[in-house]
Amino acid sequence: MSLARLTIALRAAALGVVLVGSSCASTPPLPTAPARPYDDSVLTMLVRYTAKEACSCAFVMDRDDDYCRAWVKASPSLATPSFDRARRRTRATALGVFAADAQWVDNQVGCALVTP
Amino acid sequence: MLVVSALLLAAFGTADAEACPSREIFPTTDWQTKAAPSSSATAALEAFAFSLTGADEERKGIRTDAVLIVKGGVVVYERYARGFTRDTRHLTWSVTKSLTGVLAGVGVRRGLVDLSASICSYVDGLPQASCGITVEHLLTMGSGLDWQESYEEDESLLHSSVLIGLYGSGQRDLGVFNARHALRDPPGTSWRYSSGDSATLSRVLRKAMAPTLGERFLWPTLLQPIGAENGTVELDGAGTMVGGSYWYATARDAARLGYLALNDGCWRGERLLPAGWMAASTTPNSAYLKKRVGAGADDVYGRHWWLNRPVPDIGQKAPWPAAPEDLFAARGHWGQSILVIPSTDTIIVRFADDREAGAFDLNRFIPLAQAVADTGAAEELR
Repeated sequence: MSLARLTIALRAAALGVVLVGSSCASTPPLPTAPARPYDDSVLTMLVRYTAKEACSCAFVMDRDDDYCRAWVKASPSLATPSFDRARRRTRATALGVFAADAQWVDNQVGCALVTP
Repeated sequence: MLVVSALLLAAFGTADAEACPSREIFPTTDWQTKAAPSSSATAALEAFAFSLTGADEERKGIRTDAVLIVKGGVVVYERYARGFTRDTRHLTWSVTKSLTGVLAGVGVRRGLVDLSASICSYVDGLPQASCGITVEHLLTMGSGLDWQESYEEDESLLHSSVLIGLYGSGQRDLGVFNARHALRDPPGTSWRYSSGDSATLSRVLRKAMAPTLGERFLWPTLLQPIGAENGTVELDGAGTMVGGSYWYATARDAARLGYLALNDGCWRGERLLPAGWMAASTTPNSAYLKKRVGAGADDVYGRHWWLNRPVPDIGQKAPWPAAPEDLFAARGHWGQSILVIPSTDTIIVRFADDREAGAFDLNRFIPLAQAVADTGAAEELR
């Protein structure tokens, strides 16, 4: 195992702790005086990043699925986007538990996350 | 008539500050173009900017998607790569900040935005501690709020206000999220580059301008007048333009923002920005001069524009010594830039996907692009 792969594996393991720790938490309120680190789930942010940027890549920048998969690839590469070109919508999932959707709205305002 | 004006100007020594700079060429539905001839200058530019220097899948090296050069109001060079075209909108990341800053100028020009007003006079529900922050403080990245500007390279993603603001809990109302950070310094006493300040500025502009101009006020007040109406500008969860990012533009449309700035905020003789706005925007701002927090070696800042001016009082050299000192720039993540050089009447737009920090040297690129601009312009004169 290369050092890079080991690093990714260790980071993924660390993310697993975040997953266990916060996957059941309801959406927290806007913090009044954010302390760092913020009380967010890295994996939730990762799927939201992937869904939103994949949507904009596909439907604002007009690039194809392969290009957009590469465009949104993050490290660690745990989130996978899928493209619904007919509905101009994307979904990203990670570890079978985390998911986020983004929807193209119109030419002026592009894509936005679909909040559950 | 012109002679009389010139004589009057000479006699009284001042021009009407409201007057627009004289300029005959403006793009209409599209730019005038004059393709630069192939030359040693274009070859040198392309060898530097368009030769991938690393394996594509590893995202190493210089990954240019577009270069567009405008000289004297005419496109003299344009090349696209990696699947992008003249018609493709490209994510500009923080280049958007300069668009938001210019939009603030539009709001001031229209009497809807007061730079000296507290942000709390525009946006409801902000913490009392943030009410000492003015619109001017946001424009100069001088709010003093303890926003953490870091991106995906940071090992600790949960320390990044940017990532929390775009993809985490702050996304629901990014401008308010920024204002809820603790104050690191009193407003106006220090500078720190902050996507949060741009977001709060965008929040202010929405409150000031949308009631009379509609939620899509950016288009009729700015993008349509300069012919960049095909731009996409994305919103946060509250429906506010993100402000610090998410303007998607073609290279030709990005150049229009540069051309507006180059022409002192005037477009076809119509003044869109207040007289003096661009001069103030391209002068190191007062918060910056007092104290810089987390500043890099290349950081000289005006009002939502990066500058190339040396600031001897603080020991700051010009960031790009190979470029004219009057250059100012909109700059974004992964190598996006709009470079405006008044002294050579040149605008250079570059879009890219540079994922390797430091792979692209702007100080090498600018003179190469300027040489192409000068070659193209010389050709036109023949």
